[in-house]
Amino acid sequence: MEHHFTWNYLIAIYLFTAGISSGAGIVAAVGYVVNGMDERLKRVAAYFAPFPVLLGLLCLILDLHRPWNFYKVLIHYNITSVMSWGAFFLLVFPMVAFIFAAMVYWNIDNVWRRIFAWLELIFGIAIGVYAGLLLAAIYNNPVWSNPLIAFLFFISALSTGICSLMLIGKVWDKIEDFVRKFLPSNWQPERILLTFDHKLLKRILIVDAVFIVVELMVISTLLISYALRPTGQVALGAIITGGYYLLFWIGVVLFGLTIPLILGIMEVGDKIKGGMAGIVPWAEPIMVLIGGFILRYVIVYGGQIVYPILTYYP
Amino acid sequence: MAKKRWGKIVDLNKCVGCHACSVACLAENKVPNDKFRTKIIEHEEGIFPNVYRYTEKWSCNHCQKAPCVDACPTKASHYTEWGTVEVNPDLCIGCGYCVLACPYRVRVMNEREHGGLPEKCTLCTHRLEKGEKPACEASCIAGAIITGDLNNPDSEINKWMAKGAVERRPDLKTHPNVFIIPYRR
Ligand code: SF4
Ligand code: SF4
Ligand code: SF4
Repeated sequence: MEHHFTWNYLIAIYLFTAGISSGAGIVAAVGYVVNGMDERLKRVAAYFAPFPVLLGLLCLILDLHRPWNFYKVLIHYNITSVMSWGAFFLLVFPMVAFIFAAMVYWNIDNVWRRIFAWLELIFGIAIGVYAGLLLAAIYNNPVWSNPLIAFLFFISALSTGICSLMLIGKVWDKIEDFVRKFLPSNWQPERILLTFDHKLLKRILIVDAVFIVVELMVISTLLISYALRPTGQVALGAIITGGYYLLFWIGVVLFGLTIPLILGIMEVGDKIKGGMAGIVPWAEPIMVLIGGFILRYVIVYGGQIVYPILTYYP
Repeated sequence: MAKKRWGKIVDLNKCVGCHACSVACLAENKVPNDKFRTKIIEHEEGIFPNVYRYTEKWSCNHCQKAPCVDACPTKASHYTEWGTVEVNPDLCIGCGYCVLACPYRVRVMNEREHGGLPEKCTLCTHRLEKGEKPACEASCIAGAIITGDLNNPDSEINKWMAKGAVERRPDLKTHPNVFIIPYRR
């Protein structure tokens, strides 16, 4: 059967980057709402959150077949369209996240920052859930039409979000030095050193291990729920046996989830010594991020090779 | 006079799978390169040795509760005054969501250099309104296609309705305006 792909890897990149922004935004928002999180983590999260989704937005626009009409999606809304809701969230989230990041950077601590923390939480959850809902809302698709897809993408968003924070956090002070060169001298707030130390990285690894375990459970539930449907064979055929099975089993389950989980647990238990010491806080997040992208890639393409069952006579 | 509701019926007992409708549609509607608004699906049913084959003209069903219209973010995909479904090029951003949302998979995206619109059957309303038959119906050598006003009780299409026309995939609850008369051996 020939396959015609309406959506390609650009959509997978968008789903991936929106997830990272969602995860980072939620970490930042929770950090400032509950007022307990490590200062370094919540600050870096607030600064980083607006950027990945902008790359995703660029990919979305590049994928349009009529990009010159792009602005129409921002002025014409359709309440029955998940994508229309998404366009609204994608418009608001970066604005909220930039304002919030600026407030954090210039140490503005007033009621407005609390309001924006809540807004960042709400819209952070919105863009994280929306990414999966975009596919789950499709009718009659054996792979996509499943609310667990939205849940899976959301958990993966939290996981990939904090993993990118681990990477960014390690080099944050260098990034900040660079950015400060472009800010006028009277705009430079007091310097707070934010680079993550090993203790903080280990705490993040514990949290990520929890996310990974939940994600593995959601994936198993998703596969079972496919199997229980009349279209199950088609869906499973696309994801776990034919089509994309190597990417799914090796790329997502093994390389993107299981190995990072084991590495993270070993690192937390100080089991990694000698020449390999210090490698896990790099390797774990990089593997999770690659796995997170492959997951979206497999689902985006897998949902398009399953031709809907065309038997329609009762 | 009551509002019109254009519809179509394809009689699978008459369809011989010659592709005349498919080609006539391309010419009439100037469909860009290698895309189709209507194509022929081949069915092979039954259990050996009692297998039989038949063909079916496959195109947009002009659903009255259309998932493509629900999915379109800008309302570019919309219902016309005749109950058919069309795309408004002014509003379409070419996102392809309707193509994926159509449970019958009758839409396909055109490339950017060909306008980037989703390609789909319009039921040739431009011809119907002039009192002409759609290109596919006019070209059908077997007389397997009928179009007409479903709201007009005297129309030819309603006589065909009485011959046992059914919806495609009624379980999807899309309430199409396009019906088929199923193949009977
Ligand atoms: S058949 Fe598909 S394209 Fe046509 S109206 Fe129904 S959902 Fe839309
Ligand atoms: S491709 Fe055009 S008609 Fe289809 S959903 Fe997108 S904007 Fe609507
Ligand atoms: S009604 Fe017109 S547009 Fe639709 S399939 Fe027939 S010829 Fe093509």
